[in-house]
Amino acid sequence: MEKQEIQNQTMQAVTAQGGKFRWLAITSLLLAIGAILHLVSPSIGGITPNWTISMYCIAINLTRPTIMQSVGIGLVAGAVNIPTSKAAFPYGNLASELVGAVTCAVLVHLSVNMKVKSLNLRPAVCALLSTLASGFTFITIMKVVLSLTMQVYVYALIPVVLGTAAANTIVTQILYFPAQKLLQSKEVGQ
Amino acid sequence: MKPAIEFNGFSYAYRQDKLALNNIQVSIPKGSFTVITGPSGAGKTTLCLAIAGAVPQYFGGSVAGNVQVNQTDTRNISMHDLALHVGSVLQDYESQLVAMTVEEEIAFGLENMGMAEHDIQERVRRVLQRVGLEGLEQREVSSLSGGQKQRLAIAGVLVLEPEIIVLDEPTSALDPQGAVQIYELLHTLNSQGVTVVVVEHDLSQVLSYAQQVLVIHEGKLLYCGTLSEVLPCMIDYPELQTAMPILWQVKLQLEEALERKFADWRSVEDAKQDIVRFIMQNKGVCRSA
Amino acid sequence: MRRYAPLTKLILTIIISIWAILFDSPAILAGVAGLQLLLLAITRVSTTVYKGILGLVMFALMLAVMQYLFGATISLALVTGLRMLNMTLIFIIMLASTRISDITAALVKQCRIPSDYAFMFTAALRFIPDFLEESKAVREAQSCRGYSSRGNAFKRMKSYLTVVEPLVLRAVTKSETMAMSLELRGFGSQRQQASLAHVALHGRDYILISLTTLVTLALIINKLQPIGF
Repeated sequence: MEKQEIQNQTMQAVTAQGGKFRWLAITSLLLAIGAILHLVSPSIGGITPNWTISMYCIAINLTRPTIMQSVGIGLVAGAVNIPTSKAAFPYGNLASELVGAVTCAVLVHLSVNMKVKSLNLRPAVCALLSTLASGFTFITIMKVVLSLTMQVYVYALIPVVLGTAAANTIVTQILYFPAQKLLQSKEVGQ
Repeated sequence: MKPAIEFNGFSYAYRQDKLALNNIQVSIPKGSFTVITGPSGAGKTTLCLAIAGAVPQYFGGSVAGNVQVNQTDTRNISMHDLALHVGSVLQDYESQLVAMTVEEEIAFGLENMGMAEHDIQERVRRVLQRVGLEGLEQREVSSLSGGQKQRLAIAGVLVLEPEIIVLDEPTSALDPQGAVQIYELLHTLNSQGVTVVVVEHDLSQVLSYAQQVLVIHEGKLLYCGTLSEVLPCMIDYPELQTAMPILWQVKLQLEEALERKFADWRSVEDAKQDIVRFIMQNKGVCRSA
Repeated sequence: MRRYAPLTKLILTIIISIWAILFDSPAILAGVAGLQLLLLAITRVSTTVYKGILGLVMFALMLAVMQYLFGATISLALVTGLRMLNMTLIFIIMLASTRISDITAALVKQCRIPSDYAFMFTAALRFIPDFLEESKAVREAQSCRGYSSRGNAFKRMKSYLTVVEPLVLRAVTKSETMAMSLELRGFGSQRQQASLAHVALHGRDYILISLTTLVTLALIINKLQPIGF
């Protein structure tokens, strides 16, 4: 125990025991944001970021949940969009978001340096690879289940996944840092 | 009578460098209606969190002294067990509401205790009546008005039947009418025996209810006493002026000008009667002269 | 459909999806879709649900046209659209005839999903309308300050992010209160999802589940070893 004198009082350091539900709260609220952006976000130059993926990438980067917890996050992410946006292919959503969230969690726990100079690029890398993993899972299941032709797959679906991944990489990297700064200031006090 | 809450030389810092609370020594009697006031950033919220045990348990930090709730040190009891005695309505009460419907929101705390379904329904029904939300069981939480959400947050903690409830600026986001209704509700709860502790930056809201006022300033307890003890002292602090009810600003200035003491003005009606009485007396003086 | 337990409907979403995959005749798929619409009609749902379905039909149509344009036969294109429609309709029926809290209760009680995730799901849905309000407010404020959504794609993305960023920060701020209040309200200690009574299976549920499962099994066997029915 660390002790320090302030105004004739002995201050005693106490370790924070809170924060056990922080990952749960942040993820819930960010998934809500993802869902509304999914509903209202305009398409920009024909490409819309997949806000749900972007939001759980931010949440997973912020709170570093375990892989098992990320499985749950992915399933919830897929489930949240079913009642809200009349998802066109619900079971495809569940599977693809699961793959996306787990990909993100693996990247977050990977001890590889993803810094360029002082800029941490981990959120961008997570968003890029998670969106690709999730997107390809989704369109591949769709191709098999709905018997899509190879042409539809290659010329119509793959370009959408690539475009979305690019957009997600940018928005996730930009949105992560203000969120992280704010959270850090909360964690050390007000 | 033993106090409900007792701060014993309590100091707290979120980080090492700056004290959020500095040597607080005060006791809050059982069954009282206590109001905490002070300028923003003075430590009012931290004081509330200390009663709930979140300071220091949730946030960590440095502590001296202790806080006792019902003679139990808040550090020797889990936040949840403490919550069975102290219900906290946090400043951002909307984030406290996590369920889809009114009924589920109130049941949330009881479900966490593993209470049987039948008992839950009975308790939910009772508490809805208590806060005046009966008939809204199935309503979606997000469809409620601000005042109704505040009532729901109160119901959510009240359903655990705590002896004490602590509210951090419960009316700051409400319209004046809604604010009046919330304080009427708190007054009713108080008269049913619940100890009420409320942070309020505008004392005019609580003139008719406050039995004890704590004035916090830069982490220190500046004054503690009844409204009539505390308000005259507050006039010396410019940063506390915004908390002063206009009614009392008038009263204190009148008293100074007329060199005469008035009774405690808890409402405009009180003031009117007092002034009329004063004028009648003076008329009498004039006539006899 | 309202009388059936949520678990039954959850199982049905799987069964109908399997049927949709197993059948490869447009006529039969259309029949299943018709059956589902009939089910919806007797469930009596609000008109917004039908509007949603209209959107889905458009999407299915688009998918079919795309298939056709990229060289599929008309029959295959129809199969694609109808399969998608079938798999989604059953979810709409479930959502229109079941309370969300009963679905989560079934998932926690009967499918053993940890209550953390049921909470995450409910809380996300609970805050969607609130954030929707806030996003409108933010957008209005930004447009007052002269942010426009014109210009090239990159500029538009940047201006849109000025709407998104405050929302993300609001979520982080709110999460602190939420996490603290979960602690105060004893979340996770011995959480007991109530309302088991609402979600319990009854005779009719068992009958429906067994019947549809039998049909599914028969279909699978027929697929593997065609005996010609």
